[in-house]
Amino acid sequence: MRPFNYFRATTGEEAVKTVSSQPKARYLGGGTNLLDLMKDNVESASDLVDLTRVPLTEITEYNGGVSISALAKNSDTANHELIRTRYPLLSHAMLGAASAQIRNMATNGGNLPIFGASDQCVAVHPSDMAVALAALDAKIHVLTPKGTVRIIPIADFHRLPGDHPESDNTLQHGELIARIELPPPRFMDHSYYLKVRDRTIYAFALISVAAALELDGNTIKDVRLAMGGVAHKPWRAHQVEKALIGKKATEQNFAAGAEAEMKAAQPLAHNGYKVELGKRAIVRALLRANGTV
Amino acid sequence: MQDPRIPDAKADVPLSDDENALLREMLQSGLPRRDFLKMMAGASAGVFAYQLLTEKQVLASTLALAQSTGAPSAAEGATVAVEFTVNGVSRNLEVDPRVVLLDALREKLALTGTKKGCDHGQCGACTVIVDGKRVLSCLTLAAQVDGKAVTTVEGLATEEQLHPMQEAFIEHDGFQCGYCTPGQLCSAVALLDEAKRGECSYVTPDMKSPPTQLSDDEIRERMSGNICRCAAYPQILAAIQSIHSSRKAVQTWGFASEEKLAEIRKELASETV
Repeated sequence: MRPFNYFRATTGEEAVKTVSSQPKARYLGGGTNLLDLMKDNVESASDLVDLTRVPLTEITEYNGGVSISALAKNSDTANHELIRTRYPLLSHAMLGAASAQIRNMATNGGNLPIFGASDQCVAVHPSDMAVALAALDAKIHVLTPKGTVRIIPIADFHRLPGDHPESDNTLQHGELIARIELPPPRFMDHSYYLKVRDRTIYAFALISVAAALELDGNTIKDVRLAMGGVAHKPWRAHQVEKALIGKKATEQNFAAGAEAEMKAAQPLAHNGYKVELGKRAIVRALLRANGTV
Repeated sequence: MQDPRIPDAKADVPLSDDENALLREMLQSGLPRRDFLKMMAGASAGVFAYQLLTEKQVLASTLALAQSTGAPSAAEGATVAVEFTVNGVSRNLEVDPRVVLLDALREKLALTGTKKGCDHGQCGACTVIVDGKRVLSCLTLAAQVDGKAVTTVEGLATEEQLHPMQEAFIEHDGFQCGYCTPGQLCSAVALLDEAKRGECSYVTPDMKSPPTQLSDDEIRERMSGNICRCAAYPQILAAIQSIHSSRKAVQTWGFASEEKLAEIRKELASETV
């Protein structure tokens, strides 16, 4: 690693001040991503601001929903009673990521940034948590260098890569994710996070689907579906959602919705399999969420 | 100039071509000699650094460079103080901020039980327990554990006896080469605490009701961050299950019976290819 100045921040504001004053300063959360890349000199920092001591770790009720602090560990978040009981989809998605050790180290804030796709770059984003958050309509609260708080809906958080694929989200330098806000829970009983990967554990998803249903008998009152591994940001499957509201929760309807969604897919030379895989994954995730399988 | 901390350091062994090349590269940093040496010590460069000290050529070069270049950035040569407990013992270290916990344990504290497998967070061999939670020491800066309690594999046994998990690993033949084993043990011990705390995993059927009894599949999922190239997985699972639920894991293999052997021998005898 290249040498860096090391600072231990004690408050969020202190951290923001330090990082925003140095163009090449970086935040250190869990280190599971940054340190890995710094070892290979893919990433570097002139100054590293360690957030280990910053007290931004609570998970509490908020506005009828829940507020998840950015520096809470992934494992603590996924296993928190509020999340497990009210947003099991998020728990499920987070527990499908990485390994137990990494989940114990990784922060929520560090799990949100992603990689881009355009003519310049075709990497898909790897975060399972982000997919579940997209399905749940989360809002990201960001501390700015000016001392204000910016609230960004998750759908707007990950930017389209366009001509700047290296800049993967709408955060300005020095801005620090402070908390993730979840709206009042509605999909507690019928949700599932399906993660399709080359092996059964500890791998990024080829395709993942976060599916949640609100049922009235066998009729779908409301549905949320987001996909990972298919685009540069968590993909909210609006076509499926539109197709399913008011319909019966049957495999046929799920399949029709999946068909509609994947129509717009633009596969490349080597990932055409994801179109068919995507359709089937959507159906399977919905069947799982519905409790049919 | 024999440093008692470094046994058997040979003061007069000449540097190899590689070491010379490396040395020239490092001297590009243009540090004042004292800072350079402090940085080498802080980065745990060990015997190599020691050999550098005895090379007259090196000392002359660092002095010359220091005089010719401007002041170095504040980063180089700076160290950070880390105070933490390891296996119950309080430790104070002064390290280059870049030093990871794994290297601090192995190189500074001579606790070589924890192993460096991939050094990139993918194998789990470096797993240790920090404040009761299992983490990867290769992706943790030593500076990050300031004020925390670290347990390594060396801290599992007491003076009198092995940790029950260690005994189980022996009883169930949970290792061959043993390289992944310290990481497996720390991971397994922490896993038991996670289960007691009611933590879920990806394969938990209902997130709302955490399991008290972990199935084999649950244990497999929860141990999936620890790789074993000797494939001792079934035995590792059996060892952990024996401690967790005091029952034997489902055995999926068995010795062939005499009848089965005879059948196979007959088949083999009749093959013409």
